[in-house]
Amino acid sequence: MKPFLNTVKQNISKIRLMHFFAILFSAFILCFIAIYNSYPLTFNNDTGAYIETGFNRVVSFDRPILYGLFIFYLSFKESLWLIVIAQSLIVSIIIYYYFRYIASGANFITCYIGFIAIISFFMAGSFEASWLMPDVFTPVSILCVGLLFFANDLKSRDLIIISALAVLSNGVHNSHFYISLCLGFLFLSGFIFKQIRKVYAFSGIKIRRVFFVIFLAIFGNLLLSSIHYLYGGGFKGARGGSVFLMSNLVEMGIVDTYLAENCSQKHYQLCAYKDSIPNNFLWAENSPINKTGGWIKNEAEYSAIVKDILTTPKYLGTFIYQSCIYTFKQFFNYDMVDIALPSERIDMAVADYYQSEYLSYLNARQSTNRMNFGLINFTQNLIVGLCLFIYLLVFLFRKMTLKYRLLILFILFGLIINAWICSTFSCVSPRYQTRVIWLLPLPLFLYILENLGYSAILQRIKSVMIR
Amino acid sequence: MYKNIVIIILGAIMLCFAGFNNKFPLLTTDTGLFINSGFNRNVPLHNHTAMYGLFIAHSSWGKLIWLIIFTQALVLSITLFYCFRYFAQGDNYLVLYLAYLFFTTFCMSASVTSSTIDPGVFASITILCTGLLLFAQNLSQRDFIVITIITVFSSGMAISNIFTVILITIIYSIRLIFQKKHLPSGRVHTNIKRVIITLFLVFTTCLLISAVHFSLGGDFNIINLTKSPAPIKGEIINMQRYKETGSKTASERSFKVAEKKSMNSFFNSIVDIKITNYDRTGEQSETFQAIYRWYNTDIRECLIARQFQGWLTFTYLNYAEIISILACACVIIISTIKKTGTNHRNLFFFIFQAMLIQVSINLILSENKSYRLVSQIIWLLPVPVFFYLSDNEFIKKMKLN
Repeated sequence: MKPFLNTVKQNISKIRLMHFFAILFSAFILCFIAIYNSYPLTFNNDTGAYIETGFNRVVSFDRPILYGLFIFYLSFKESLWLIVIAQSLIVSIIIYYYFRYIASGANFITCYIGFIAIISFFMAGSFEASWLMPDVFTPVSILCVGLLFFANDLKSRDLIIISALAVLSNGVHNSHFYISLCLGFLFLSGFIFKQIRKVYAFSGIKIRRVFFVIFLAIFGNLLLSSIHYLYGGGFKGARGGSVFLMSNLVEMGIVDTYLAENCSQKHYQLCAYKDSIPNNFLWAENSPINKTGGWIKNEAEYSAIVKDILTTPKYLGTFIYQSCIYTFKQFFNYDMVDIALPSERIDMAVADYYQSEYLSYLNARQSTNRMNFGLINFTQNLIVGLCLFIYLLVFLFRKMTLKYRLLILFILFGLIINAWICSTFSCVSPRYQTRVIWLLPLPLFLYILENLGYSAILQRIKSVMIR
Repeated sequence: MYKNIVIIILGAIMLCFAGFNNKFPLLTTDTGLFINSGFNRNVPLHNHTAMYGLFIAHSSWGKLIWLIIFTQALVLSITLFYCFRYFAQGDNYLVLYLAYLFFTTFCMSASVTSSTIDPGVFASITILCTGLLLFAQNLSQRDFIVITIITVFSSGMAISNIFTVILITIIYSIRLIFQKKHLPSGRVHTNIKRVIITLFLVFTTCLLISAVHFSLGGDFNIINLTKSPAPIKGEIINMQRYKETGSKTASERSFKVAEKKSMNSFFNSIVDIKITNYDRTGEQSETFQAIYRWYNTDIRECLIARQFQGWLTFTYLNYAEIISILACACVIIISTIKKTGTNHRNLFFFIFQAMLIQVSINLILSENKSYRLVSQIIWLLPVPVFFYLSDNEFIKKMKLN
C-alpha cells in the first residue's frame, strides 16, 4: 500500500509542477507584445499619470490611486517589466482556474496553453497584459465574478486568491466596480424567476455566491475610498463621474440642445461658451472646463446640468436612444489603435522614476513608431465573428449543456455591460472593448475540453481527411 | 416564425458592423446630395432618382441617422433570408444564411456596403429579388408580396438597377425561346409568366419614379434630364475635373485625353474588386453640410468617426475579399468539373451575369465613381457557393432543429 501511495504522491507533485510551469509559460506567452516592443506598452498621458500618482502618493481628481500604487510597489522602483510580468501572471492564473474548475476535462494543460496562445497571438490578450494600464483588470474582474458564480468546490486558498484579485481589480479603474455590481445584480434578479432558478440550480449557481460577489464589489469600493482618504483624497471611490458623463453628453449632442433651450432661464457658467464647446470636452485646451477652473471647480455645475438632463423626459429619451447606439458602437469597436508615440508626460515619468530603463524605453518599437497591429486586429475580427456565429447557433438551436449556455451568456453580458458603462458614462473608445473582447472564445475552449477532448478532435480531423 | 424574425433582425445588426466600427454611418461624396434631395423634396440631377433621398428622409424619421443604415441592412437581411429559404436545400438553410451573413460581414464588403448611406446596397438587393422572382419555386403569397414590394422600391433607388432588371429579363426571355422543353427535375429554371411579372414590376417602378418626380415638381420622367447644368459630354471621367475646377470649358478640354483612357478605365474597373478607402468628408463638403443641416444633433458623432478622423482602412479586408472570391471560383470550377450542383451553377451564372450587367451599366452612367461599384456587389458571389454547400451530405445530416 505504501509504495502505491508514494507513487500517487509523486505523480501528484509531478502534475502540480507541470501545472506550475504551465502557468509560468502562459504568463511568458502573454508578455509577447511587450517582448516584441522591447518594452512595456504605454498609453497617451495616462500611463505617466498612473506612475506619478503612485510615486507622489497624490489622489488624482479623475482616476483612482490603486493602479498607481500597484505600479509603485510591484515595480520595486526598479523596472516596469515587473508590472507586465505581474499582470501576465494574474491573467494566467485566473484563466488556469477556469480550465481547472469549470471544465471537467482531465488533461487540460494543452487546451489551456492553446487558449492563451490564441488570445496572445491572434487577439488582444497579450496586448492588454503588456500595457501599463489598469485595463487588463477589467477581464480579470469579470473572470473573478464568473469563477465565483460557476466554479464549485473551490479550494479555500483559491477562493482567497480569487476574492483578493476581485477586490484589487474592482479598485483600479472607475468602471470595474459598476461592471461587477451590474453582473451581480443581473444574476441576482434571475432568482426571482422560477425558470431561471432551475437553470441556476442545474449550473451550480448559488445565491450566496451571488451575494458574495456583490459584497466583494462593495467592500472593494469601501477599501478604495479608505485608501483615498488615507492619501488625502477624501472618502470617495470613483472619481470624476459627473464630469465624465457631462463630456459624453456633449459628444451625444444633448448638451448643445439643452444649453440652447435653457440658457435664457438658467445662468450656468457654461452658457458663455455654448457655441464653442469642443468635441474633446475633457482634454482640449480651449475647452470651457479648462477655462473655468478645472474639474473640481465645475463638478457641482456639471452635476446639476446632468441631473436636469436625466430628469427631463425629452432629453432622457434622446439619452436612452444614444446610449443604445453607443453601446452597439462600443461593442463593435475593439481594435488596438491607441498605440501612438508616448507623450512627454510618460517620457518624464520613466526618466524620473525608472532612469536605468530610459534608454530601452526610448529604443522600443512604440517610441520609434514601429508598432502595427493591423494583422492582429483582422484575425481578432475573424475570431469574434466566428464566436458570435457559433454562439448564435448555440442559442437558436439549444446546443451545448445548460451550464455552458449560461457561461456564454455570462461572458456576453460582461462584454455588453462593459460596452454600455464605458460608452454611456465615458466615451466610445476602442480601448474599452479591446480589454475584454478576447474573453469571447473562452467558453468554446472549455466546452471543447470537456465534451470533445483534444484527441477526439484530432480523430475527427483525421476521419474528415480520410473521407 | 418568431425565431426567423429574431434571426433576420440579428442579421441586420451584424450587417451594420462596419457602421458601428466607424462610429458613424459611412458616407460618400454623394451622401449630401441624397440627403438634401430627400429633405428639400427635389429631384436630384444626373442619373439619380428621388427615391433614395425620400428613403433617407423617411427611414430616419427625419432625425435618426442610424435608422437609415439599419433599414437598409434589414431589407438586405430579409432578401437574403428568402434566398436561402427558397434556394438552399434541406432544413438547415438558417445555418447557411447566418454563416453567409457572418462570412460576408467579416471577410467581404457586405457590411461596408450596407453601412454606407448610398443607394449601392440596393443594387445587390435588386439582383437577389430578381433572382427570387425568376427562379424561386412555390413562393408563398405573403413572401411574393414582400419580394414584389422590395423589388419595386430597391430597383427604383437607382437608374442602373432598372436597366439591370430589364436586361436580365430580356436575356432570360431569349433563353426561354431556345430552352429545351423538358428540363431535368429540380433544375433552377424560369418561365414566361415569371419573366412577364418581373418586366411588369420594372414598368411599375418606372411609373412610380416618374410620378414621384412629377409630384416633386420635376418632369414625368425617371431621370432629371432637363435641368442638368453639368457637362454631359464625357461625363465618365470628366466629372471629376468639372468638380475640381468648376469650369465647363476646362473639363471639356480634358475630355479627349479622358476618352482614350475611358476604355482602359472601364476594363480596369470591372476587375477592381477592392474596397477603396472611404475618403475623409471635409467640413466644406456637401455631405458634411447636409448632415450639419438635417441631422444637427449627430454632427459631433460625425466629427469623431473614424472616416472623418482619416483612419478608416480596409487593407486586410481587401485581402480577405480577394481570397474569398478565389475560393468561390475554385468551388464553382470544382463543381463544374465534377458535374455536381448544376442547380447552383445556374444561379451562379445568373448572379455573375447580373453583376456584370450592373457594373457595366453603372460605369456607363456613373461620374467616375467606378471605384466602389464592384466592391458594392462582389459579395454576392458566395451566395450560390453557400447554396452548393447546402447540397453537402455533412450539412444535410446536421441535426440542429
